Amino acid sequence: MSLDILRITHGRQICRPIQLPMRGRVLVRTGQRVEMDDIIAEYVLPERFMVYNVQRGFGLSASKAESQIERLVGEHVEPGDVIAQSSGLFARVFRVPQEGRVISIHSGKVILALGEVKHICRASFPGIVVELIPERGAVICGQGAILQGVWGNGKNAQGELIHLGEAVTHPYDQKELDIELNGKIVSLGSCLREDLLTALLESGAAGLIVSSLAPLLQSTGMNLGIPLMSLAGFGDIQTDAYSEAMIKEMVGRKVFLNAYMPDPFSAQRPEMIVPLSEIEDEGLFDEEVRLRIGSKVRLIGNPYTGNAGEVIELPAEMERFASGLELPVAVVKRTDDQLVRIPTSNLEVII
Amino acid sequence: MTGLACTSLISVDIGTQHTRAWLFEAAEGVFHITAGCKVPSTFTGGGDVQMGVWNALERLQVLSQRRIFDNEGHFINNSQIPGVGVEKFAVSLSAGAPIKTALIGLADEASVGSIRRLASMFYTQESAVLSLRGGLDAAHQLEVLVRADPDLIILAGGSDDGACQPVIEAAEHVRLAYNLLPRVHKPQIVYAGNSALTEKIVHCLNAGEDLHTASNIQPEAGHDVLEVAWGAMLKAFEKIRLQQMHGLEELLQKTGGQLLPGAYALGRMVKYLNRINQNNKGVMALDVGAGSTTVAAAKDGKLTLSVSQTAGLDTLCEEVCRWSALPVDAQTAAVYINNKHLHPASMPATLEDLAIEQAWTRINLKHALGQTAQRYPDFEFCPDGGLSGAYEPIILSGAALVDAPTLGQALLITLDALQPYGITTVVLDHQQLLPALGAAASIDPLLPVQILDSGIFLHVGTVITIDSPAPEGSSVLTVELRCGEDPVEVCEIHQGSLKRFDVKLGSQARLHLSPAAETDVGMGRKGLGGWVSINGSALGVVIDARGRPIRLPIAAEKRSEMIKAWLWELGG
Repeated sequence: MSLDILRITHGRQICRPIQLPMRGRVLVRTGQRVEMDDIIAEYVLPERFMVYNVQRGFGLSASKAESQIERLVGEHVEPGDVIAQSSGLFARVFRVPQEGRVISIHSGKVILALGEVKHICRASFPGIVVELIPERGAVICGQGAILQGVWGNGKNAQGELIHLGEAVTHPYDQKELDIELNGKIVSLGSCLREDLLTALLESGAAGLIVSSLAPLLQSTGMNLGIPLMSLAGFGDIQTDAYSEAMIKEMVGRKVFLNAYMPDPFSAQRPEMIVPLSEIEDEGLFDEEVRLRIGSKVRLIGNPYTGNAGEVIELPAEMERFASGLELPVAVVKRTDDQLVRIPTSNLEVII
Repeated sequence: MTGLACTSLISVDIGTQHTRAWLFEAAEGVFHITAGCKVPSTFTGGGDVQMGVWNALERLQVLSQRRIFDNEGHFINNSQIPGVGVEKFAVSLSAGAPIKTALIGLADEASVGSIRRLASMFYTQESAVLSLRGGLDAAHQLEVLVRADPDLIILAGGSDDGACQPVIEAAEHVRLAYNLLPRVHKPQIVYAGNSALTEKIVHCLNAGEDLHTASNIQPEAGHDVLEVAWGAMLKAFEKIRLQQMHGLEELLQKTGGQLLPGAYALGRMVKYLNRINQNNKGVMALDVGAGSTTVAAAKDGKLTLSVSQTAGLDTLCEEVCRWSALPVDAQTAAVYINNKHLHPASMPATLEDLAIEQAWTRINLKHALGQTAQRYPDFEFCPDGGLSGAYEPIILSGAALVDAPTLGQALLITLDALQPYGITTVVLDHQQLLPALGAAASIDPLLPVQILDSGIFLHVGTVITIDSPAPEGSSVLTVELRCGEDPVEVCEIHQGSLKRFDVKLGSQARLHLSPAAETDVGMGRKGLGGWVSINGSALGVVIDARGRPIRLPIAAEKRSEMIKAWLWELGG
């Protein structure tokens, strides 16, 4: 089966490619140490374009208009530079308003690309540059713990991790919110109210990790100025035992929250990285992950959404579920020792 | 001589969730299916697409007992040794994100409309639309193109003796965007406009192998000839997917395979079925997949093919609740569907999840049909009134329909979304074989013909849709059913009802329809009835007199009872 893989891992090598969506300039070198937010690579696009219609402006034919143009394609221009000018009693001049470049002269028209907008990619956690990706970026490696979620709003931040527990569901739970949250990555249970998000934002939190999010808050979450990661998705889902244990263990540490948006076509998932000096697993690459007896799993779909446990049996025969669908099945012993039978397609394998 | 291009062929269909493979072998000049299998696809999460294909081929090797791999585990390609390896390999691909596409045409209603229809055949997502008569100046056109960062640019416009200058200027802007954007892979450009300008456009764009030219898709104003651009689009599609999908290029090299988009391959088969169809009706295939829905319809030799992305959820939760067979609130529906987006391979294990999923399938199917009608103004569908043209058969495909727990559920989803016209048969491509046959057809056109002759579809039922303005509960049709030695069954059909008659697979029946004066049963005009011969099928004959649009009670409980009653009538 095609496996949904979720990483909740202690001290191990963490390598992530940090790269531009386009070709640009790589600004780091192999072996260099980078901190979060250090610029890894950049590319530049024009800020805007400007077209001078010399033919129309001067009232000339296209060929005559081109003879009035004083620049060549590719030429760099400064503010005030003359692009074209006509002579005579009513001479007209076209001047450049902003630094840029001539990109086209065609049919009596000059097109300029003016200004520049830099697009950059930054390191999302501290580490060492182990490999350059030509014209795109670099692979950064560090070591530590990873806690992955399933949904993020595309932003990232760093800060000390604080855990408010599952109980904070209301913005007026003042006791919890009175704790100093400024600059911290705040973990809590499910977030079902917009005013809770607002209250946490106003408290100065640097980032939020929620066990789940109300579906209606998805667009609010996307527009939130700070990173927001949902561990289990949407609805009212409690934090699973493995994620909760990791969060509790990492409280008080400096963590890096990369709330990547989910993309089924890439390996990227939203995650929290906690740098650790000790390594439990030296391997750079994951072993091939298979669903097997003993696999730790998190359950998807009703009635077990968000539960976690361990696979204790993988029956060879398919099983008919209440929906009427006949599907491959796994028997999972949940962390509360209950045995449940669930379609194998509804499992995330935790590694 | 058999007249066949080969005697062994593997066709692989790579979908988002599953990869399907079939081995076809010819004996005495006739192809048959030797083995087929389905395995999980492996390209999601940045994986290598080849792994899923090799897994499938290993299964085929076991199932067929034919050696497909040599001792070193290499695929045996172009084999001339009988019983070893295969001679030909075809690949259809429906997996992958929609292709970000910029459409550039002369005017909205004319060339942009044609380009939109062309693009919709290839699972694209419009990232920019430029109508050259839309008043956008050159600087803005460039900004739009650069911001859109398209994978594919389709430029057309101008009838063959029409406007030149705007198209040449647009080509200049495309050239600038092509050169300015520091993309890892340059966008592919398809030019399918004024043929007289092709040479100038090639010279202007100077995009080498990234430019694919075709004849004019609109040689005369208002007259589409999309077929002329298919070749160029296929080349562009292949280049884009080879760049995007890890392992695809290596797969094609190792197998010598030819790549076709899955929807295009499906469309090819639908067009073929329409050609051999004797009933003067069109043929339609509906494929509801994990991330997209394909509508392929062919009538009088003309193909309507459109791939639509899943409908946006924001405004549709209420609609999902309305069509759910169990009463659910919008919040519950939104939770299920949003989580399904995060875990597309997950399956509904509870009745409530299934009810939401099937309601969502209805919405997606209706949305895709509506999009098709927007793109193709002569496609006879409107979301409220349903289909107003005659199509037979209607072929159902895609996991959402094929994997429904019962055929009745798959049929009801289709009837609710499509509301077919008149008398039609609904069949299920339960093996989801059509795209693979479409891909194989480009290597050996006889192969799909012979395989279709062998009967690959599951006959779900014959559907008679009643169109009548009569008030709810009034009699609209009298049906007389004669089935073999069974006693004649006579039944009055009332407006608002859904009725099924058993006509078992393998048996035949004659049905006499006597419609009321204002009732149209699709026999040519209102009030006209007559005898209809029916072949037996899994569900028999279904008479749908629920009216157009289908009216559902406002109260959730009553609505749910009604949908459950319909499902019950169709066998559960």
